[in-house]
Parts: sequence; C-alpha cells; structure tokens
Amino acid sequence: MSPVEFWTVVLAGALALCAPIVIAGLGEIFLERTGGFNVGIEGMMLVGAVFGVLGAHVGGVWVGVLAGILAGLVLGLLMGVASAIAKADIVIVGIAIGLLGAGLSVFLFQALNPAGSTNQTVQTQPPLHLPLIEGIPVIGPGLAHAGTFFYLSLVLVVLSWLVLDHTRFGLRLRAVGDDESVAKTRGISPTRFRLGAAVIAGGFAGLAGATVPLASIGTFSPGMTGGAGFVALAVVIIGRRTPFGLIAGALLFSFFNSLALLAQTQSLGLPVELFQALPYLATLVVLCVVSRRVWRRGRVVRRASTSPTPSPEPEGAR
Amino acid sequence: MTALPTWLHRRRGPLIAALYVVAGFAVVFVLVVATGGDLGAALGGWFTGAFGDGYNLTQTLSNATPLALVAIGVSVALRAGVVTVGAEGQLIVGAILSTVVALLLGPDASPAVALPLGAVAGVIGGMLWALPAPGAQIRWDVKEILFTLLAHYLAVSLLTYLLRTVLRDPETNASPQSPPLPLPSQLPQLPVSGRIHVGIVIVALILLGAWWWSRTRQAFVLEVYGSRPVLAARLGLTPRSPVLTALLVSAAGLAGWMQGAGVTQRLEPSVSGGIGFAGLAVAVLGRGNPLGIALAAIVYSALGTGAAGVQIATGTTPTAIGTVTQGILLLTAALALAALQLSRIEKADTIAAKTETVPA
Repeated sequence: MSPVEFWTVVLAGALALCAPIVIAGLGEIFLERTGGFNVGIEGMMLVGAVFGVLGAHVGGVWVGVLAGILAGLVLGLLMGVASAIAKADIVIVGIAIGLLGAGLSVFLFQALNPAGSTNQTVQTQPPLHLPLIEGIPVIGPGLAHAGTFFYLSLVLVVLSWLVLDHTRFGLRLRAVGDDESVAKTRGISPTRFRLGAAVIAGGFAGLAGATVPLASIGTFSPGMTGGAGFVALAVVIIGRRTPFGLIAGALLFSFFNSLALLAQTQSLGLPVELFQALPYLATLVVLCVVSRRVWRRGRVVRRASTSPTPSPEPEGAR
Repeated sequence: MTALPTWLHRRRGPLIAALYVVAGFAVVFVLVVATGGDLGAALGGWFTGAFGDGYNLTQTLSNATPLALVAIGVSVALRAGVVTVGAEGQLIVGAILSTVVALLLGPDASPAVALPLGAVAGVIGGMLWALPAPGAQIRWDVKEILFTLLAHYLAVSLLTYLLRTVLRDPETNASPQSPPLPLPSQLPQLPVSGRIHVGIVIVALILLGAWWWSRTRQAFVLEVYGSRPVLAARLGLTPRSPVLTALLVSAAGLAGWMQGAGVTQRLEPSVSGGIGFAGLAVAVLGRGNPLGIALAAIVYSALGTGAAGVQIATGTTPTAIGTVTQGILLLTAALALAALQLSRIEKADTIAAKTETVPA
C-alpha cells in the first residue's frame, strides 16, 4: 500500500465512523446550552441501536431510524422529567439511565431473539454513490463512500446551527443555561426548556445509536456503541458547544479510530493496543488544551454558565 | 374535612418518594410479565439465584465486596459534591500493579509479606490512576467525570496490551490472562460452603473505619464544601484540597487487588466489569452511611446474581433483567432523594415565612 492509498483508506474510515458521534453530540449541545450534561448518552444510544435493528426488521432502514429516534425520545423524556421537573441530580439520573439503557438493550434483544435462534441481519444504510467527487485525490473516495448517514449528519449539523443560533428557541435555551434567574424574569420557564432540551438530546442519541448497527453489521451486539456517546460528550466541549466545532472534534476521534481499525489488519510497527488507545488519548489531550484556553479567556463567565462540578443536590437546594 | 388533604400535603415528600419506588417495581414486574414470565416464579427464582444455597450466597457477597469498597471512596467524594465514576480505571491499574508484585515475589515469599505488599501495590496503582483527573479539573477546568470516562478506555488498552505480552500466561493459549498468582499472594478463602475470600472481613473493618470517619470534623467540613464552598473556605478548606482528597481516598485500587488475589487468583481482562457506575450507584443508594453502603452493595449485587435464577425459573425472561433493575433502582433512588429534599426545603421555607410574619 502506497502512502497515498494508506491515507485515503484512513480518511475514508474516519468519515464513515464519525456520523454517530456528530449526531449524538448535536443533542448534547442542545442539552448543554441549558446547563445540562448527559452521562446516560451511551445507554440511550444502545437502546436506539436495538430499536434501530428491530425497526429495520419490520420495515426497512428508515423505519429502523425512526424507531431509534422514538426510543431515544422516550429516554430523553424520562431524563428531562427526572432532572428538570423532579429536580433529581442530572449526573446521577444520567448514570441510572445509562445502566438502564445498557440493560434494556440487551434485555430486549435477548427477549426477541432467544439464545439458540438464528440471528438475522437487517438491511443496512442505502449505498450512496457520488461519482463526481470520487475523482478528488486522497479525500475523494472517502467522501463518495461515506454513506447516507454521514450526509444526514451534515444536514442535521446545519439545521441545528440554524435552530441554536438563529431562532428564538435557541437563544432562549442559552438564556436558561447562562442565568436561570434572569431567564425567569424574562418569562422563560427554565423547567420547560430543560425538559425540551433533554427530549431533543434523547432523540439525537437514539438516532445516533440506530445508525451504528444500520451502518455496519446490521444486527445488535451488547455494548456495540463502544463509548461513542462518551466521546461525543468530550467532542462537544472540544467543539465549544457549536455544531461546526463538533464536526472537527468528531473527525479528530474517528481519524485515530480509523487508524486503530487499520492497525488490526496490518502491522503498523507499534502494538495494536496503542492504536486502540490513541483516539481516546488524543481526545483527552485536546480536551485539556481546549478547556485551558477557554478557562483563560473568561473564567468568571464560564463559572456562571456551567458549574464544573455538579453537586449531588438538586439545583433548587441552594 | 380538611384533615386528610392537609396530612397528605404535609407528607408530600415521603409520599412522592414512595410512589417512585412503587413505580420502579411496577416497571420491572411489567418487563417480567411481558416476556412471558410468571411473577411468583421470577421472584422465587431471583431469591434462589441470589441467596438460595451456599454457593449462590457467597457469590452474591463476593460480588458485593468490591462494590462496597468502591462505594466508600465514592461516598467521600459525593460528600464534597464530586460525582466520580473513575473507579473502573483505578481498579484495573491497581489489579495490574498488585499482580506484577505478586509475580515478582514468586512462590517462596511469606504470605505475611506478600499479601500486604500486594494490597499496597493495589492502592498505589489506584491512586496513580486517580491523580490526573482532579489535576486536570483544577488546572484546566476539565469535567472530572468526563476525564475518567475517557481515561477508562486507556486503562483497558493497557490491560489488554500487558495480558497479550509480558503478563501473559505461557501455559494457555486460549484466552489472554496472567499466570495464576503464586500461593503466598492468594487471599485465603473463608471456611464456609461456597467461595468467599477473607477480603470481605477487611472490607467490613474498612466500613467500620468509614463509620468512625463520617463522624469527624473533617467529614463535616467536606460536606459543607459540597453545599457551601465559601463557608468551607472559612473553615480552612480551599477549593483544591477537597476535590483532590475526595478522589484520592477512593479505594478502588484495593478492590482491584482483592479481585485478583481473592476471586480469580490471576489477572483477567474482565477484572473491572462496570464497577465505576455500580460503585457510584451503591454509594448513592447507601446515602453515604457505611451500614447503608453494605446493605446497598448486597442488594445491588443480589440483583445481578439473582438474575440468572430468574431466567432459570421463568425460562423466558433474559438475565439482562438484572442490569435493568439496577438502573431502575438507581433512578428511583435519585428521584426519591430529590422528592425528600424538595419537601424539606419547602418546609424550611414555610417555617421561615411564618417566623417573618409573626411580630416580635
């Protein structure tokens, strides 16, 4: 494999792998703009994945996608009700939903496909051929075969950017996150916006989860999202809670992840475990560097908008 | 006429809390019935699976041991308002380090030396892994929970690398695991039917120590930091120290040593098995009280071990019902706690309002 071919393959892999992270991250941006943080994102994605497979079984890929979104919306609603209305601590609620989602995904899959029955795979994402861009060197083949979900995620990025920064709803979300009491005096209900943001975050996480099996093996396996949700949490912060920054962060992770997948099939000179650790390590390092820069720029402002250490008490306690 | 509604209103917090718990049970029951299971059979199967005979009972207790140990550390962090799930990586690194020490000491060392050294190695390993997260939080304002979630994958990679290379058992080719620990480094088993190592006695002693600590001034100041950082500063606690101490005392490294030396007697890739989230769940359920933590650890562990019994008894309900129930349990606990806390605040507010209106 020549160097050009090698990097072409790596880049193609990176583009194909980043869709779930981008999609899940978009939901997280909505939630974080209201001051939330979704530790349950991984569990929501797993439930989305299992519903994606079940839905695709019934009516094809797009029914699967819809089923994943709906399942995510339900879990998001659960999270929103528990944190925004019942005022339970959002991090602990997130961990509970993470456990619940991980368990529920396996439970549903085992209940519907009992051990011993043959595992049927479903139809995966419709192939997308873009012969015009395929000719571009290095990046072209990757872009042409990145898959429908990759382009879907790009559309969602633009839509989210419009909603977050150019609608009244988006600005009000941010108002709730920046200063709850000021938002209240302006007649914005923090509870309702937090609830709404959690539902949106759930829907995105469910969709992201559904794309994982539907873009790859066409069936469910326990824990198949492999930390993509947690990575999305980090990538959102790397991307400064903006939809376009999110793409850059997601590509950073999936670039190294693509390299790790390649390292499994051919020797790249170093231990394969190092390549497997690299995407997480790179994300961590960039997370620290970026947070530091934000920290220097305006500590006081950040303190007010996002409390760095969530307290186990509900926010009403103080 | 108004007596009942007033009574209901005054006890709204506890009532809502109870309602959450009932709803949680209901969801689990619905899931069992929906998969064609008989409720009575499922409950009976769960009990048999978790406590039915010596083997199952010791299995439940053995799984509860590391949970309780991790939860003690987590509950100290919770006091300071830090929600940590970093135990998983700490446990892995603690287990690695104590395994290395055990293999270096070899079969000729005295257990009186090998066991304490293994324990110390576990604790050091856990602390080393715990250090970067609060460091990054203090230095760069990186969310500690996010740091540990990502760092966990690094620990897993380190473990798989070591088990594939230097720590690999040369005798077996099937699965990547370390050679068995030399006898002096193995924790003795208790003389009961089933399998339970003496580590459970150590954990019981640590729980006692934690109970004593929870009554000290230091514990109180840490709690003050959790709710009122400014006041804590006046009591001599700077914002840096609680985050650091809270994370460093986390006992997950010791749990890593126990899992290797007492349960598997070698290092296996599955040594940590979701303990980060489970430990936090137990700490929340136990409400920072050592006795509560011990009980919560047993209940939480019984949900896992009993799930196999549920599947055997019903024939159709998958074992994953255990994890589902664990998640629902934590969710209902978080909701119930919030309901109690809200009603307490409301009560305090009404009392404050009353005293204000009454002329002096």
